[in-house]
Amino acid sequence: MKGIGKKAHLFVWALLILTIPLIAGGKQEVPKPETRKGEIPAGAGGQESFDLNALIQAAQKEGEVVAYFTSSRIKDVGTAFEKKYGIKVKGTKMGDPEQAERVIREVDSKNVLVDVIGFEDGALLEGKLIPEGYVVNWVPPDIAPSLSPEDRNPLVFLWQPRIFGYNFESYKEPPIKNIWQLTEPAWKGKILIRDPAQTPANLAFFANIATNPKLLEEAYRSYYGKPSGISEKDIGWEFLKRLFQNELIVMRSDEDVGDAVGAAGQKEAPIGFYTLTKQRDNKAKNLKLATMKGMVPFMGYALPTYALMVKNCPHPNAAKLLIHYILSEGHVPWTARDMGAFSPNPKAPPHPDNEGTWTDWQKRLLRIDNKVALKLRQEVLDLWLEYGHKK
Amino acid sequence: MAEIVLKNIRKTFGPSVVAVDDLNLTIQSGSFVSLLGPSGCGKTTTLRMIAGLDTPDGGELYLDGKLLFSESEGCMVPTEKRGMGLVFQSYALWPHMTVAQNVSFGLEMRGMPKEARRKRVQEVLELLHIDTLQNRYPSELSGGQQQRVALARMLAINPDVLLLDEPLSNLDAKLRLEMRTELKRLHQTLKNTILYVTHDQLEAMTLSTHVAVMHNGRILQYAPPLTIYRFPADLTVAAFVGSPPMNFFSRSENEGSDVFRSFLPLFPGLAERVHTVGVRPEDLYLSPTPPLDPWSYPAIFETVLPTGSDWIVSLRVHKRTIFLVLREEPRIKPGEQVWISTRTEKLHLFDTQQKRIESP
Amino acid sequence: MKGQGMRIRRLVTELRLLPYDPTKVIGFLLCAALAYLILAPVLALLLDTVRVNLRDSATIGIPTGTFTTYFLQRTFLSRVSEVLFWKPFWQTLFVAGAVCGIAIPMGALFAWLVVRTDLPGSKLVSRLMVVPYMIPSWTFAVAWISVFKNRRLGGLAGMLETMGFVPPDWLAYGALPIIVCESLHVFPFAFLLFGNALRSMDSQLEESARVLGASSFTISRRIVLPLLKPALLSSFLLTFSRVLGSFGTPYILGSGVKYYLLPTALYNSYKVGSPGVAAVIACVTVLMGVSLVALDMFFVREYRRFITLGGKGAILRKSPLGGLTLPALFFTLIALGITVLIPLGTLVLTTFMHRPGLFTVENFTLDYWIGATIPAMVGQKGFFLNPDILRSLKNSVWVAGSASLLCGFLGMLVGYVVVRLPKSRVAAYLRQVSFLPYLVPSIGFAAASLSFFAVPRGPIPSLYGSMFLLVLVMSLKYLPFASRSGITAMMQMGNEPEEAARVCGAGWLRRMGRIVLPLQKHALLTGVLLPLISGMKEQSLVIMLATPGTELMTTQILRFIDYGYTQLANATVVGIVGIIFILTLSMERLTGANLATGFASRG
Repeated sequence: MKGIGKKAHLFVWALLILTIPLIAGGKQEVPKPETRKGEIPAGAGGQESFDLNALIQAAQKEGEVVAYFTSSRIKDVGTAFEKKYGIKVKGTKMGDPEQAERVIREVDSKNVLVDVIGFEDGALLEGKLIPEGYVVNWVPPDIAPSLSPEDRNPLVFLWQPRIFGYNFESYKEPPIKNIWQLTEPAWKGKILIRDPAQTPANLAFFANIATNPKLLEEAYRSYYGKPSGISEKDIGWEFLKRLFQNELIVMRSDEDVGDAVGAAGQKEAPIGFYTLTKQRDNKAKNLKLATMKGMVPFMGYALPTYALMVKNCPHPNAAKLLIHYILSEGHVPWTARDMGAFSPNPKAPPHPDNEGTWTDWQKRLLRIDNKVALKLRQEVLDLWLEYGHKK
Repeated sequence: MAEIVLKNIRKTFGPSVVAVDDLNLTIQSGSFVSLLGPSGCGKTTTLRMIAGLDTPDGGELYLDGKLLFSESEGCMVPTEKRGMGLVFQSYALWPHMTVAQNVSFGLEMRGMPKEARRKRVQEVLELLHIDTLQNRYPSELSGGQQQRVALARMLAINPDVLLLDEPLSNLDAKLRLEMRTELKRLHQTLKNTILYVTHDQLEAMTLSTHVAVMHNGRILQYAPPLTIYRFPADLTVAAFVGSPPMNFFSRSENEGSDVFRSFLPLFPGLAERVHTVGVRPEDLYLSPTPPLDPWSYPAIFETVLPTGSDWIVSLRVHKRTIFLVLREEPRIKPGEQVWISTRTEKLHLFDTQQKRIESP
Repeated sequence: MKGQGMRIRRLVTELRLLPYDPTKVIGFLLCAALAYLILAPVLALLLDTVRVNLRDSATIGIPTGTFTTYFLQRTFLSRVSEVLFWKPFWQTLFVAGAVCGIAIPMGALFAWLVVRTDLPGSKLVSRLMVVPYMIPSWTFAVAWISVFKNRRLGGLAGMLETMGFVPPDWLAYGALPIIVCESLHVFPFAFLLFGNALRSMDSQLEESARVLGASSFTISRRIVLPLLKPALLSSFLLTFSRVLGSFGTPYILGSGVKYYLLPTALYNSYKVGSPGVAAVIACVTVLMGVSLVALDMFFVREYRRFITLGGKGAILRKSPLGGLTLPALFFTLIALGITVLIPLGTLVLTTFMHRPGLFTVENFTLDYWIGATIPAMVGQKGFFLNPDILRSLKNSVWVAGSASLLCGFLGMLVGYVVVRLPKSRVAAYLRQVSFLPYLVPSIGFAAASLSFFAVPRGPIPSLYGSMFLLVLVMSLKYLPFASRSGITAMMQMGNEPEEAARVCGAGWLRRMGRIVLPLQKHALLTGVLLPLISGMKEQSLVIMLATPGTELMTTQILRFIDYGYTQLANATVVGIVGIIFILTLSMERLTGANLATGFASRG
């Protein structure tokens, strides 16, 4: 028996060695940019060469467009789009990491299935997907002039405040006035947030907190009435550490956060960090959500959703038309039907419940610098893993 | 008809197990040969090699002068083409087929038309007295019936050579005798060559025309059953054949050496060569007083086992037990002293190599 | 020269004999195929632990393809390794041990009650006992959370909370519910294995001991337990591996309180965007699994060949329960209630309620089944009208169906080769490799296969996003079941029925068609049925492979859970369970095979 066992091992090893060339054979090629047949050549700057009708015709020839979006509203947009142009939209709600994974796999395998992504992880977009050619930034030339320059590259089609909110039935006024309050024992285990580890945008937010020491120091002084005594280099990290140590409760989605915070009939309801759109459910689900008005130095951050074409996508013209659509009239399901989201296109009518215009909101929110996010993300994640997972 | 010849057949399993070692055997056409030996002696392997289910490592195998296997010629006729019949110890009836389907399978493989098959199945089942069981499934049969079906399945194709691998070992005693008779009758009727593997000497003795006694992958003796019984060529054969077994007295043995020495005057010329003396239980005589025979020895009567037809007596001779078989009931009580005796020509003599010495 | 000539002659002889007995060729083809389909992806996974992949390179700033120890260090030795690896590791061991401790005695006890006592209705009981295995493992978790969920997780409130009782965290989430739910799901394994062992164990063995004056205790210790050792070890092995590969339950019940097991830790690392760390964790689980198998091999070697079944069946005597009948029956009914009725009942109930747990007339609704619109879920339709559900249903049936057929066929071939070439290298290799997928957690296996087959390799085009990839990966993942049942069945059948056919002059194909396949009908069906059932409810394996066009029912459930469409998700779970029931019953009806009697065929 012993002899046989040994031989069996040799045999297995021999087969293993034989398979190595097979494994090594699969080389990953970085796709080279190329112009494709039948694609209407309309670049970001070529306003004069842009012909919407030609694009519509070319798109209609393609017949359909596949989209992965972080928002489930893509389905409603798709229905409207199909109604208008007769082009079917296969829209799927999908988180950032999964989208990135799929796009990379699809492009690498030269079997691209998706045309457009609606994506929130700006850091990965600017750090990887765009520079390495997985996705292509295309700004509709006719709309470009009305967009602010920083919304064009990469192209933002939706702005949402992701903010701290509370249950107005449980608290007469916003319980959090200052961001440092979040680190207080009073709120230990009572702050709900979508899992930062799986939400790149939240990580980006924390990274940008770390690089804004002045705001934090100022807030500290206004809350505690004295300087923090923490160095400018450390104060951001110190804040994050204290926050993470305060037992944040992790949820799977902002919707879950909103539901838990806003549920009616609670005595000492938790507070939460969620996208403003969740407050639309106040009616449908009888929630009691309200924003943390007047929170110092900011109530949350401005969460952009980007819309980009995937490299070598199967329906490039339909993809462009869809992007064009959601930046013009197609944003309705996001921005006009319910409250909480803003189109970067100033012509888009805002929802009356929005507690102000996008300009107003920008003052209440931290704006994310994707480069900072890219650089510090891992460090923030490690800090979160280290402190956020201790009981 | 069919003559099987094995020449220098060798078979090993793995690096260390030699199942069959340089085996030579000729099975004459129409004979009923038993391979007799304890389990693990290589008899089943030999049978499987003849059937083609195992491939020998070396040697040659012929059927009627036709080469079936040769290591040096690179020849190996597959089982399917050998046309032999093989009955397994477990019967290996196909449980999903009826008796008739089981029996007709081989005929079907030979492309026999349906009607002819039906007739042949009927014929064979009648031959084995199981024609009423045609539509039963194996699980609905008794052991003896299964055995008959297994036999019928192989007989249906009318093979020249029928191989039987301990076919009766799963049957009870009565059925076994019945099947033995049946087998002998079949052999007498059909006259095909039968190779029969068994560890039961009674089966081998009663059924066979020839018995090959196997031990450790070798054939120790190949002869008609009575020859084997009367003139065992070897100590192992002598010990294996016969029930109760032959009594042995050996030169090297502590308890028996006195008895052994008492035999020596009987064969003066051979005294040096003989190492073991054997005598069968039925060749020993018992008397309450010292007999006049050339050889006798005192013994203590221990106990008696009456079998109905005869009496097996155990005696204590110099601290060891020997057996006698008597045709009449002994009138002695346990513990009494008796004398045993025998005739010189009934003694079996073996040398230091355990080989038989022909007495003068 | 002479030696060479001889070798060639031998080869020629072998080749000439091929049509009669192609076992060796099939064996070698199988070896090669499994090496490519199973070993190679796993090897690629190993490579991923030391080579920077594209997604990691963005965050850690090392170019793609560079060899590095970064991931190993990060997983085992960094300041985050406690969270990333060590805690989940110890927790996995703890949970797996606890599940073994609950599931195996439970399975063994019920097996004994059903097989060896005169428990009334034992046939029905043995049928119902298999139900927890049939329904997806995470069903229990979903049901548990529907009942015990407290405010911590947000979303729709749990039933108890709605009824006024707020369950504490330790009851709602973490170790306790995970252990309970896993045990409920896993114990049918032990039940089946012990049931078969007890069924094939001759009562005379115990009776001989009793005649010799052994007490019941001595009989159990000296006769029954040693004979049940294979079943015990197999259950232990299967249970442990099961926990090692189970994703849904710890995900649903553990994530909220950050109680991670290795599969969820792996998934997290993957989701967070560090596939390198995920690969390291995956390799650890593979390593753990391989050690389990090594252990198994070590023990199995001692009784590999004790086949008790021969021409005649063993005698089975049932011991009377006497005065214990009622308590035993009562206990069994309670257990059935907990394992089957309550979880399923809860799920069904929630699909009829707007707010689960609120028992008012206006709270009940049929919207989640037949509603053309659902007030709380914009744009969604009830189960029977929902295009997403219907499409995913079609995909599920197609993928699980083809995978199980492929798998059952492969499993039988493996069984055939292993038993026909006993003690050979090919057999040893096939045994090990065909069992390997069981050890790789589904997510890891999917990740390995995905990265291996996503790019074109030689003649095989890129399989990314194709239905075929799902079928392939699924059939390989379930090959262990099929090949094990194939090996067992082939061993029980023995070689003789086929050899008898050889002697009768039947060639290989005819032997297969007329003898082997008909005799293996039950085993083959089991080998198809089990993967089919598993395939219908598989989630963690396919979640990474399913693309929008190839969404399966189970991944659709996760999408619904993502949207917070609890009732729709629950309805889909109920739908899957219903389909599995119907499939099982109709196949049983069709073939007479009985899932409750399990792996053993009546040889």
